Amino acid sequence: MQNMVASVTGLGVLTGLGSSLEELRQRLNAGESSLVPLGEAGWEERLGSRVAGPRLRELLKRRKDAKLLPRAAQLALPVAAMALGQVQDRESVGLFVGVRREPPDDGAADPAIAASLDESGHLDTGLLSRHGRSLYPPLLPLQTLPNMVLAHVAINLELMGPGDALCGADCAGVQALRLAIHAIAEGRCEVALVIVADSPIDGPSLRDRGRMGQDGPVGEAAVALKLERAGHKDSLMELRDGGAGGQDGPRPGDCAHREQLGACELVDPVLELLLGSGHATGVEASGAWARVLGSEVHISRVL
Amino acid sequence: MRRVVVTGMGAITPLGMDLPSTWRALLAGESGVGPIARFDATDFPVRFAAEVDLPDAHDEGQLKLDLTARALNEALAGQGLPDLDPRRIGVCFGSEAARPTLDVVASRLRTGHIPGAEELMRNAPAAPTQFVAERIGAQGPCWTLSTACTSSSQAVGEGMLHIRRGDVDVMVVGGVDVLVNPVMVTGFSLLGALSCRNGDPQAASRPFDLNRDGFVLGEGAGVLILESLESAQARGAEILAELRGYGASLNAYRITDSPPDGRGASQAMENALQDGRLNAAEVGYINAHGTSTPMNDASESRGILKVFGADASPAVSSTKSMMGHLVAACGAVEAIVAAMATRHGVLPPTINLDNPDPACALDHVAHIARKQTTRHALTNAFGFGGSNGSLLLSSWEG
Repeated sequence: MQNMVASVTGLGVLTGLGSSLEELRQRLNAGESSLVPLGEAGWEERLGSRVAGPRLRELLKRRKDAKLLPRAAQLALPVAAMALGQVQDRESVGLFVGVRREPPDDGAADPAIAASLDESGHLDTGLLSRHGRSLYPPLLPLQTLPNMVLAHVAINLELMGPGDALCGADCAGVQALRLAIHAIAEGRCEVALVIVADSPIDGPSLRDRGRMGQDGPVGEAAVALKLERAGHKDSLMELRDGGAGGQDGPRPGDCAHREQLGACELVDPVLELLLGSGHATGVEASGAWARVLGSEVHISRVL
Repeated sequence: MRRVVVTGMGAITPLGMDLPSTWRALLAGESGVGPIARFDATDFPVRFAAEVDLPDAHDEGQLKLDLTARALNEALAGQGLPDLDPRRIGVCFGSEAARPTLDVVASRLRTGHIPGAEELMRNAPAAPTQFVAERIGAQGPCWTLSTACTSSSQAVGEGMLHIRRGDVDVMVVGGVDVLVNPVMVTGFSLLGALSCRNGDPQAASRPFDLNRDGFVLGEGAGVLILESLESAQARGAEILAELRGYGASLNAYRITDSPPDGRGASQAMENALQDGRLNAAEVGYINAHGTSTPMNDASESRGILKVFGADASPAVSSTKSMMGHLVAACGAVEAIVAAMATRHGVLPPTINLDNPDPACALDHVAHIARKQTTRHALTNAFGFGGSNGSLLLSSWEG
């Protein structure tokens, strides 16, 4: 494997404890917590950490698109703008996004389905076509595509380089970071933007987490990193993709700040990388079926 | 730079339950489009699709895994995998989440039932990747790409890069999608993306034709076994094609619309050519994305003309005219079609191309297959959200 190293030259961070890495570090060190009862119907007692806002008006090319943005994209857009800063040639910027899953529909199609049930409560496709269809949100298929974070950031920041959306559950953030390091090291783009954003605070996500036995506090968070060639003059830190087999980093899930920010499994490894441990570790395709699959992968700060 | 070759291919499409039957139907110009059989679509505005002939599965997630398994089995049937350390074998798949069937949603509304952990995992975008990894015991990289209609094109391309950079020696790559259900037919028809030619479904998918009015929903799966040239030669495997280049780009335009100037499409094709170290003039065939929507086909044509020049268009066809739009699976299946075209020296046609749109002035392979020795072929995939992928495949000449 080639020497896969890249410089981080821009950062954007958005969490329940601040909108910069410095603020987040200070508030974590001060012992603050952003966990509060969620208050969602059915989830009143559950603790979670929300990000206030964010304000999107200045970032959207077309303000009417605001209603199209799933929550993860609302979080991603400001951190992407923060990290990217003033880049002259945006048309060649690569964009690599990690998402945990497709944005949930949050019950948006339920009224259409409810209007399509027959007297015995079973679905009648004739009723769906005649009555339910008019209640079906026409933009829902687009709002629930996994690549909507990628799409909205690319459109609003006018990024036209190579782009990918990784959707490998909790490991997707680390994979997006790997992909961006590869793209820089191999010269497929001069500047790459990595975005890892997730909001597990909605009915379907909380319900699904419960079914998977994940009942602890949750938090929404987003991180963006601008990467350029290793040794760049504006480097904030250098990152190395150690590839498979790294064993000296923290295991996925061992996250120091969960008591203060809640769990955001997609973003947590990248926050760990930035905050202190200097490592981001994930297991690609980790044990979803009968046995553990894939490799543990490891990204580290170069000291 | 390590060279990457194809040593196995499998395809399940609306035209056939394996690659040979699909290829025969493509060359014969047959259509896989027909009235929707999976549910009663009598009252729907769009009542046809390109369905795979499979018995009803338990749910959409299970159907995706069934299709994946069949395509994988076919890809492995010929030459299998080399005997390698499992960490030297990876998986890269393009797919998206499986939607619960309407009956499941109705049941949830009626009874408050919520899905169990197994169902959640089966319906997740990464489920086919994990399924393939489990089947073959892969312990190398396992990646899931989800960029709508570009997903599996990018999965094939990223798989190639993994081998090139030496992470692994073999990548099992591909894509799968199953979207012919009442919700997606409703959603896509409300977006105005689907053809409404209910009176003549087999004429509905007509890429580059002046009277095209939208795409036809399809479904299927495609799997390719990618291998380093050294590995393939060491075990004496027959090489079916060389995967030579991959290019990606973003439109940065609109969620559903393609830029009229074809800029994202042309950038992806140029990147693939550059990656494969070829000149445009060396490409003999393009398997176009060619969805049959007014906007895509005009934009893609503009992109092709920009890259190849107005008087130098390679032969172009869109096999979506026959198998419909396989969405997240189309990139992998159409890469297989491009590989077959270079291998057998015959180009599948675009059917229903009765009146070529002047805005799509290309060298179309219209109606009937064309015998043409083609060393290098491009295949394009463009997705909602503005993701573009192009793959460059070449015949293997030793």
